[in-house]
Amino acid sequence: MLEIDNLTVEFGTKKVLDGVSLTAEKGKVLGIVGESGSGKTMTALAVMGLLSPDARVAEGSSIQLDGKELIGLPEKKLAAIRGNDIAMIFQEPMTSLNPTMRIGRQLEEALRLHGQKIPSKSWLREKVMEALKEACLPEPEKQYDRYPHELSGGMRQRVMIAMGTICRPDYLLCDEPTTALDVTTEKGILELINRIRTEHNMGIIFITHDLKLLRGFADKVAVMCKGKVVEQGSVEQIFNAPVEEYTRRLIASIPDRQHRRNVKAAGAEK
Amino acid sequence: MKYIAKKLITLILTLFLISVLVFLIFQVIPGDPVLSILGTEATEEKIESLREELGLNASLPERYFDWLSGVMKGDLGRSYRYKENLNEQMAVSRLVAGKLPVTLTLAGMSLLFIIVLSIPIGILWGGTKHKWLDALLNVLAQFSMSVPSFFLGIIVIYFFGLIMKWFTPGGYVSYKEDFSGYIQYMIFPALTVALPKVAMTARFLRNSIINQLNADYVRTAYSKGAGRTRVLFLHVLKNAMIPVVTFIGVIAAEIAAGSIVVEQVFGLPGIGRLLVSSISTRDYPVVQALMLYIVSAVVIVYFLVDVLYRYIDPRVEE
Repeated sequence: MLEIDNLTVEFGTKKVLDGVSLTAEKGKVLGIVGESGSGKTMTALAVMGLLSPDARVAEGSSIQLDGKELIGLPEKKLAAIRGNDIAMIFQEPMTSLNPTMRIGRQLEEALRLHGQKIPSKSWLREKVMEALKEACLPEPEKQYDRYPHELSGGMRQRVMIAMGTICRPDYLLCDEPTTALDVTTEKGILELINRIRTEHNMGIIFITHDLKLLRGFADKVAVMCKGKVVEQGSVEQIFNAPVEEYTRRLIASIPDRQHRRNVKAAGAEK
Repeated sequence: MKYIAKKLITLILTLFLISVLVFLIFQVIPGDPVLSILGTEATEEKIESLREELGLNASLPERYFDWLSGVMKGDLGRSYRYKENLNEQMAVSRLVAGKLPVTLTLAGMSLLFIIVLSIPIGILWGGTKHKWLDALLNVLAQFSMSVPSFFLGIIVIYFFGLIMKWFTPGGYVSYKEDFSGYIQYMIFPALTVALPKVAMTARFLRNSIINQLNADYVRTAYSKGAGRTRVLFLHVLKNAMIPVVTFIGVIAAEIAAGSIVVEQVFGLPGIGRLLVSSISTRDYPVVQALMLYIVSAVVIVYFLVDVLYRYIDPRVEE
């Protein structure tokens, strides 16, 4: 279990996260939804220990991975966890890969970094190829020697997913991984994340500003606003009986008539 | 290969254009070369015969191709001022060939210093988390960039020459006589040329590294579990070097043209001094030849930068 408890992060005097408590479980999808600036990404970065140096994690905050406290862990130990136990993929597939390094080498690096015994170069290549195939990257043999700019946005995000999951982490943090992609590509990426989750019993934290993406995908949804978790519950709960006004507005902003009607009806009943 | 071929064609076209320009400029400059060689009191026949001899009576395109074919064969005309012997003016090619090695050595050694010093300093500077180190390097860089090169030369002579006694000021020896002595002497002028450029390049690399450290791919590298040193050397450095290569190219082109001030301060017989004296005595064939060298050097350095680019930035293609 990945337990975030009372997480508070400050930049100077400004609280960007204020007492965030969330729990992610292996094999389940936790959706975090909220507008930009609500602290979704900040929460994920805090879990990874990748907050910028001027951010301060307040006392009393806790992030535990299977009972092990991550806050205050020395950099070396955190680095050993990153990519190996918890991995993260980002919003911008265009800039998230190193532009001057071949795709294959970027994936290899993840394996090399986590102390697995590497019997041979061909073994390394095979492992990378496996991960690329699992991510359904077309023509993986060809992509292996390519540079990121030679791939489309969707392909790059598949590379990112392959790279994030190559060490079989227990948790994968996905920070708006489909926002920069078109709708068809988005669907493929969601299916891929879901498949890898079920195959490897991986826990997913899926961050999005788009509530409708989480339907039929997330097991649990947390709604964030101004650095706080304002509402938490199952997808059905959030969609059909939102308690908070903010959540209702989020749902109302979905361009789907059926839903808006539901929300209105729910509001009228009160 | 296609990329290099393309750049090579551009290079050749540019060099051709330069040769036309350099030729034309010296046709438009007022003053008659015949008169400047013979003096105003020469007889009509003498003037006419020299005119014929120098090919000045032919048409402009004819003279251009004449001149160009001469240049190709290494014949750059004859100096107005320097005499080979009593009856003959000195060949410009011989004059320049005597000075060019000095300038090229100075430029080459300076460039070596710049690369060898600025890259490690820039990496240290860009990668450091210590505020005091950043501030210290900043002060040192500001200092070496703002001190004028003649004064820097004097400091180098005073410190390394007179106090440390590592070389004899003014004790230049030709490379033909004593090669190792020549190189030893050249170290100090090269250092003088290099120092401000080292500061500039190191600072440029520092900024480039800091810029790259904020890039998304750096966050990705960290999230894979890479440590700071690995991120700096394996991921950031190559990307940060891309603009620095152009920067060093500009500097290389600049120093290839020779540093007049440093040559003067250290008493080096390079082309910088030859250029100044030739301009003041209107020795146009020499000025023309030096101009041709400087402009070609710049264009060729830029060509090399383009080729190098192809190897460090995979995004450079068509």
